[in-house]
Amino acid sequence: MIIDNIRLVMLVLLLVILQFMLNNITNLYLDLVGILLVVCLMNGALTVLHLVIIALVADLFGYWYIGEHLVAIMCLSCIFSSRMHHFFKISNFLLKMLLIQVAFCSMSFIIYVLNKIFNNHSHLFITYAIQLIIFIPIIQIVYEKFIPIKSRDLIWYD
Amino acid sequence: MIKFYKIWLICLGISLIFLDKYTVISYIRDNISAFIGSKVSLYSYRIKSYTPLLLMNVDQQQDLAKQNATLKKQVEEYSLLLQQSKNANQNIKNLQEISDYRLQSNFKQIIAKPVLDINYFVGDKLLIEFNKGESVSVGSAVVNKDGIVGQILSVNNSTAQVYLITNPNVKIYLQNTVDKSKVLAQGAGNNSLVVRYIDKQNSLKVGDILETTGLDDVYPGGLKVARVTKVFTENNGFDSAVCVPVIDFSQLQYVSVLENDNR
Repeated sequence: MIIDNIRLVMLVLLLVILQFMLNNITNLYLDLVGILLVVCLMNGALTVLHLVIIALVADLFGYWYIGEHLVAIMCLSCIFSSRMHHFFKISNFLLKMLLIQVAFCSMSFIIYVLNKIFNNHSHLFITYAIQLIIFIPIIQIVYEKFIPIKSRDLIWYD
Repeated sequence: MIKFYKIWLICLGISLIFLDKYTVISYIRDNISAFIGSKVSLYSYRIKSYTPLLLMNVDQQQDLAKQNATLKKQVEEYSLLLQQSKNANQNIKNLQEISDYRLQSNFKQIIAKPVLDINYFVGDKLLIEFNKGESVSVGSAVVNKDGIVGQILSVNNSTAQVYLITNPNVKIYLQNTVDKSKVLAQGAGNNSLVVRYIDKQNSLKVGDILETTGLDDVYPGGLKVARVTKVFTENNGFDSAVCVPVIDFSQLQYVSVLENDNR
């Protein structure tokens, strides 16, 4: 499975290292793996097992409670139906980015609520703004360039 | 229609959150991440500060070395003051013991507090502070429970300057605690006293303790002053001995000024 998804594994590792460095050196509290999780979900190219693994990695290296990303992404996957996936696939870059931003905001809101319930620390507003404006487009571009499109992702028009 | 496995996964996620919150998992993870985080910060700081260090010119490096030396000296002084401030009550109790058991009745006792200033470090002098109402006269002895500190040199309103016994201007008449043979010791600076012109019959050995005789009107008898560290023969045929005070002056908390009423 690792050989099949070697590029995805490399991207996750890269994001984990980047996130860890930025979170430790700066005052920001970035959730780059979480963004990747949302991007993967929206593209619909990954299985549930992939999503679970990436969600646990995001929790483990982001100092969130283990399971928060899993709950959030599963709630999102319930909301975003297969019609939404088709709409996402035929959208252009800007619309895709907008949809990912909305999805990420929803996921952040679920995590925020969970953190409030379990008395975990809250994050700065600037962190969310930076993630939405800077990191979501970057990760989306990297994902599209880095991860090869499988035949099932192609939409054929008659 | 929500698929059934998603509900299971949400339940699994919530149970994982509970597990993380109420077991040692988060504690271990936070400790590991804090450790790695501190290491990352340390190495990033080193990497950041390495380049300016390389580009720094000689003058800046010398300035930095000077600042470092000054800071080191300040830390040493503060550590001395810190050591001084410890066991204050015990020290006052010790001074009370002097007045109870060891002093003769014709000595009046005033308790004072020493202050380590620049004169202590370079001039073998000690500044002491006492209450304004009390009067201290020049030439009085300054002692501690462990032994002699020195003699009053000058007096101000509530402070007095004390010549330590290691000051070259101080001479003090002493006797060996073993055979009571009398010698005259003089301060030699650098935390030492020297005894010159020792008779060949005088069996002063390394490790002997010298104490006050009580024959002068300044110091009461039987208080320890110094320990002999070296005995050697000089060119004039007499022996000389180097001694170190029994008191560590940097550790003084309170001292007692003794005034002889008979003087």
